[in-house]
Amino acid sequence: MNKMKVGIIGTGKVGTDLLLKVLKSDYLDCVIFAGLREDSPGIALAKSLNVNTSTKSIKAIIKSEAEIVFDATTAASHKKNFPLLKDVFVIDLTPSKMGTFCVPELNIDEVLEKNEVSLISCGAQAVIPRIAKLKSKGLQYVEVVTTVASDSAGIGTRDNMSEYLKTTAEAITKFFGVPAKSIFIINPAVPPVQMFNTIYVQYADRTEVVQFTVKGRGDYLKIWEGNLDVINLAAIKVAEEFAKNHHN
Amino acid sequence: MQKITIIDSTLRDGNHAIKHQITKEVYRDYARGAEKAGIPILVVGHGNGLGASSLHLGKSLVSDKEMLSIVKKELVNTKLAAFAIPGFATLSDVEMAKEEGVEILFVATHCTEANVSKEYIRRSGLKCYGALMMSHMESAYKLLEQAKLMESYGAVGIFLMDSAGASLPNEVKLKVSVLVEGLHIPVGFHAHNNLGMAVANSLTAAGRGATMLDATTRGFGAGAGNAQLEVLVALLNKIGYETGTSLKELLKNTEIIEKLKGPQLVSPLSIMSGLNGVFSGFVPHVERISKEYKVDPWDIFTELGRRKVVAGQEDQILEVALSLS
Repeated sequence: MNKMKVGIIGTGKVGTDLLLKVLKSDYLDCVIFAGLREDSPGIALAKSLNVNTSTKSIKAIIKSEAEIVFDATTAASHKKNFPLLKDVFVIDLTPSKMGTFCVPELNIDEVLEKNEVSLISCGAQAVIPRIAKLKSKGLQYVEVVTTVASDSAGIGTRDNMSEYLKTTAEAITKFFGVPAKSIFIINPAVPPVQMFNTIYVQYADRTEVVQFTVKGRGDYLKIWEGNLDVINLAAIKVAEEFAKNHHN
Repeated sequence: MQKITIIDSTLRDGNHAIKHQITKEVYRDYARGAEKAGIPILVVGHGNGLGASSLHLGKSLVSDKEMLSIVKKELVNTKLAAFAIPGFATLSDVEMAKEEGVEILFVATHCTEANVSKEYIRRSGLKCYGALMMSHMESAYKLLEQAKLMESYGAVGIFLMDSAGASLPNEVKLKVSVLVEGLHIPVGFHAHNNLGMAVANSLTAAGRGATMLDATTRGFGAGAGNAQLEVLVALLNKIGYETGTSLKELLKNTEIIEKLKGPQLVSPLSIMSGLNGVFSGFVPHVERISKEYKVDPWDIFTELGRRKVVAGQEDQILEVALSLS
């Protein structure tokens, strides 16, 4: 089977980790890895792996033959870039909230015919599949607390903290139909803490608590950056399903 | 005479002392008393501020909106302030507070994560003070670097928060001096009494140039409570600082708070919190969970301290208790 051509915009640590995951995929082929900075360590690594790179960012993506584009930049730049992307399937890893919310385990079918998919937030990708496994009967309210290591909370997350909280809660409400609240904590301890999640689930007669750690695969990101790994895994899952669906 | 601005956090930090159950009547009566006593800034909120009423930390008896609205009606000269920790509060919460008449916002982050305050300070449209929580965990120079970030975002003053009541006067002396020297904006101090140092640390801060002191009536607050407001003002008067408040009226306010809680001793759990440098607000949660899972609170606090948990990580208490039980 021919692999589907993908482009990645954003060569920071999320984009670079995504590239390594694409290179392992049986369904995806990276035709362009584009950013802005010539001295980006991600670009250097990509070159060493014989990946086609560019520092012309969105322009290079538009010129490429990519059929799927991953946006691993920022919400602000995604808002500027998206209208320029025609006839491609866009998977947005930024918190711009423009595309249809997707948690692959829950609604992959809903998004495959759309132009743009939003992966919501790292916390949403970690907690929503877990909430889906809990009893839905009598569910009244969900609250999630996500703690991540300081180094894994990028400037985008920090500048968009208010949006992160609201978007994550909105996504829980979309998938489960109940009011929700999201809390986000950054811990600077050394060695870094792994992503830790607590879900409080309120039923008419009781409250249940679920706690779990998310460990990263360590492709390019560190093992303790499970919060970033989990959103990249979701991005790959969506892209692979799209590739399978459109190559038949 | 040097002027000290008193920040009264009785109706915010005090909420920690009674699981966020301050009643409507107390918000109203205390606000009335604070206005009468000439308190310049009165902070109102859930113990962890806007948007923090939750299953995670405990639900407030009165909603954020209602408590602010009740207090606002009683104030003329006293300015109403809210407290926001980005990660709990959203900018919509801040917007609501503004609509309820809040004029001053304290934006608090863990002391190494000041850049999370940027958008809150810039976009709130309110006079903002930056607050560095758990300041015992970092060096004076790291704190200065973080305080400068908040200053660059537009904060009009910086508070060092000794959130775990873990600091000794010598550390306070150094940290306040470095901030006063290195910043162009006023410096304040927020104490906790977990090791019995709240008033001493507050006076030390004033001695080194802090011009704002945060305190609560009867020390009503998280852990062993805060610097006891009426004691602090009595001492400041005695030393010769000018606070612009009436001690006589402040003493009357103690009767309102006395009805909510008996004397706040430095309890064994508060000492453990202070010694291990764990956020004061953890105390009631550790108390409940240690009983439920039959684990010694000493062991829980020791492990929490080893893990260097920060404010908001109350969910680690359960995790630790389960690992120890």
